[in-house]
Amino acid sequence: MEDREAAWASAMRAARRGDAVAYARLLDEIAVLLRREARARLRRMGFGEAEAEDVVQETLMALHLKRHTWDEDRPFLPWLRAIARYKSADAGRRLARARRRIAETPVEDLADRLAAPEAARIGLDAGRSVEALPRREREVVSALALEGGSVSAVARRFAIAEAAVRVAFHRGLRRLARMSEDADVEGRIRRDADRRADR
Amino acid sequence: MRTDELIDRLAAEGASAESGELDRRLAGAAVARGALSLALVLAFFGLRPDLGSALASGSLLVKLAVALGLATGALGLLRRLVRPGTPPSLWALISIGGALLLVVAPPLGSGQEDAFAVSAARAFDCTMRMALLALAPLVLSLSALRAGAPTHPRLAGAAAGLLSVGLAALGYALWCPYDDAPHVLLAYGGAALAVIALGALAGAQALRW
Repeated sequence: MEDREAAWASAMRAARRGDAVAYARLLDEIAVLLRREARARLRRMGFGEAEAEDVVQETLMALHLKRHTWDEDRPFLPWLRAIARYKSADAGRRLARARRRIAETPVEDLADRLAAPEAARIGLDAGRSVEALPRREREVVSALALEGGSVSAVARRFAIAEAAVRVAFHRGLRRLARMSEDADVEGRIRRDADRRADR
Repeated sequence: MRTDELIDRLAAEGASAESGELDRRLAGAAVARGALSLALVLAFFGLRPDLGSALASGSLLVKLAVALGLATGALGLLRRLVRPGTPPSLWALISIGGALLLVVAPPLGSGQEDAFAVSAARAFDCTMRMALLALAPLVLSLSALRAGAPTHPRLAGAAAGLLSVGLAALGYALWCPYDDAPHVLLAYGGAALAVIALGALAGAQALRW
């Protein structure tokens, strides 16, 4: 424990004086520790590695954003641990709230709502994004999947019927899925072309 | 985004950080707020008519010492609260405890024994005025605290409330002519409790990061 304290404190000090390599290495090592603890903690709550990784990233960003609050005359690990604890408590609350909201979702919307963040993420990874959807679908997918609203609230907000909300949501998700398939196909075609060119 | 990509981005931004700036900002803001409270009192209330005799008897000085003790103690607490993982400052706690003990100090006197009802009424007036005076400093304190990373936002907000009411009391003591201990306890105590509670509530919302 003392070795880590000394090593990380001096790495942070070096990082402050401009050593970006030391900083990157320090953040890598911290991430390993954070990941282990986040996975253990979230597993107990019933959440998986994806959520744990989100917490790790949030904590790293907080460490970076609030790095000026570490007093060099004081030990580094308590500072790190305090920030990690704060962020992990925050995340725990947020995840529990999201889970409660899903539990309160009416059954007919549930399958879509559970699939939606993944579908939106697929769309994002494919290089397109929810931005590429036509306006109504984009608004509804954002409001339902990314912001976590309820169908009735979204219907009220856009002054359309709940059925119209569901239709737009289905269409938006299907379009995102198709976009990601197209991207896969495009990628495969490009890779085949490259391979043929090398031959 | 994958975590290693995030780390690369953060490292590219660089880790340069000046740790002392936070303290300077807090302290500087406190001084500014003290000056603000003084200016407000002079502008709206003026000085107390018995300034000379109050100074002579020491009662004004006691009031000022109490206010100063609370304010500097609160500032000491805040300097730690705003840095994650730092324990509370013993000196800050001593300062606050000492200030509270001073309230029952002899120079303040016990006032008229049968005037408790009157005390309550005028104490309420003083409480309201001091609480109002403390509002602007509280807002400024909270916004200064957002530059830090308070891991206990409610506690930090409460300490900000204590700081604000102490600074308000510093200015207010120059106007309020009642120095007896029951009045000070009621008026200043009431104002302190109200502003601390308000600070805690506001801190829970405003100091999240």
